[in-house]
Amino acid sequence: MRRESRTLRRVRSGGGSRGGFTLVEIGLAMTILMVALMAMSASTLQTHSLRRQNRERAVAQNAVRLISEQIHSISDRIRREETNWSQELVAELSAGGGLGNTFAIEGLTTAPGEVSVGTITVILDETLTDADLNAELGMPRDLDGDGAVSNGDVTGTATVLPIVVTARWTGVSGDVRIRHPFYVIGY
Amino acid sequence: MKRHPFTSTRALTLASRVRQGTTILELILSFGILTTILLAVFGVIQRDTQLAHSTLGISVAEMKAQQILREIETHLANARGANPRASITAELGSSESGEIEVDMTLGFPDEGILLLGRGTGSEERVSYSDLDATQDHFLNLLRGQQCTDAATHAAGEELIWAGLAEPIELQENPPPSTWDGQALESGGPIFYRGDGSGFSFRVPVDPTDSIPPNYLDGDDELQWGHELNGTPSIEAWACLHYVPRFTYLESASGDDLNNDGDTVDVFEVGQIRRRIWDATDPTVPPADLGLGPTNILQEQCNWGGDLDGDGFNDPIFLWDRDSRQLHIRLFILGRSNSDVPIVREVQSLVFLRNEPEN
Repeated sequence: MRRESRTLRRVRSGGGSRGGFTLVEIGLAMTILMVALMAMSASTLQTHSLRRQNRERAVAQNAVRLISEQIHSISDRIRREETNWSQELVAELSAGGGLGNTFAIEGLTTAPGEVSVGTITVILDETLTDADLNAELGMPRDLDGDGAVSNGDVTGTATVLPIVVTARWTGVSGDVRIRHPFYVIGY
Repeated sequence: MKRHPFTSTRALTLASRVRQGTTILELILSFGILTTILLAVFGVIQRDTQLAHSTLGISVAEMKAQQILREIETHLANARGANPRASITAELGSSESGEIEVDMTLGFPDEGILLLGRGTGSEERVSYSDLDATQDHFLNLLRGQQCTDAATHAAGEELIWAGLAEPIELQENPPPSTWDGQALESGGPIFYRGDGSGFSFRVPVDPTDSIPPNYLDGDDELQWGHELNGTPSIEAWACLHYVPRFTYLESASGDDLNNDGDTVDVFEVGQIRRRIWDATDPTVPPADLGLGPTNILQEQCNWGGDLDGDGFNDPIFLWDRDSRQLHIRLFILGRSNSDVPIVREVQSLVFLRNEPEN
């Protein structure tokens, strides 16, 4: 009897390895497989998301460059045609002006609390610092050529004007912002 | 003596029952489950691969588009733009293939396409492959190009380089004969003439090639030209122009590339190239350089036509000499995988700081 039991155990143990997988083994293998597949899918989706982020950024940068070049062109035209360069330019870049102070960018969603994706800011206070403006413009600076850095509003008197073109949108990675600071020259 | 474990009959019976394994039904069920799992795994892998290919294809197309834009902007950084126009000085018969006599060919590339009889029943595109050293003849003509027919053109008729696209003066209800297209600009629609497949320009040069360079002449005026075959020359001109390389049929893939609601359009896929030539000596070999890859889209026989389905034309180059703005629009053809074409649009605007050519 004891021999039979041992024999049965041997047969069962030998036959068990030959008889396929246990439920636990299959469950484990499937779990590993699923984890691997999910990791692979996540990686692909992440790449897709990065590509979209890249695309959004490229679209925004192109739009900001386009607007900046337009501002240079407008500034140049006003300098050639008008008597008061800074006043006319500020009017052109204000709400209701020729170019206005906001612009849309096709394909980008306006961030919460913003009127438009793109904004144009003309800096008229020559006492502001780069830290105030969050831009590298070398401010504060004498913008009206009077030898002092004290004028809080150089509209109508400026000979150079700092401008910041900003694009802010809600992208696939959340709230994104790019800024392009530059000068336009009126002489 | 050692006994064999299966000498007992009962043990043999039990062992054989254990070894009996799975039944046919269990086997079929197992195979069914395994096949389903395998198919699902293959499906997921295939979908992931397609998505990865698509992502890669779109990324490449977008990257190429940006690359071409940046190259164009680099070449135009110090440029002054030209508006190549001329007047025919001797009647051009419909069978004439030797030359067109005009008042001036300066600014026209050494080879290209001319647009004659615009807005009339005798509108014609004529290609030429040489300029005369006297700068008043286009030579080696091919008549009736790009789906037009050869026609007679009277002396005094104006012709333009087809590559040029320039806004017309009258923007309020202009007669149809005065414009070739309407593009959407930031200030609203603009009527323009030409195809907008090129842009002619010069840059400051120092013909003495001194170090440091001196771009001014004896009267302190900037000297204009281009470097041609390694030598700065005031006789050299340059242009950016579109060169088609192969055709793409919407019907081949069944895709509506320009969003016009049909799949019967034929497109040309080509490259932006920079060409430099000597305007006074046709024997000097021109320099030709491709900018970026060959994947820029134009509709066949309708260059500058609407490519995004917004109802407005999309010229590659739209040059407004008054504001010195050159608007660049590129539609890049890419592939997400072997069967699915994708089109990406990129735009840029370059303000040319220098005064345009007279």
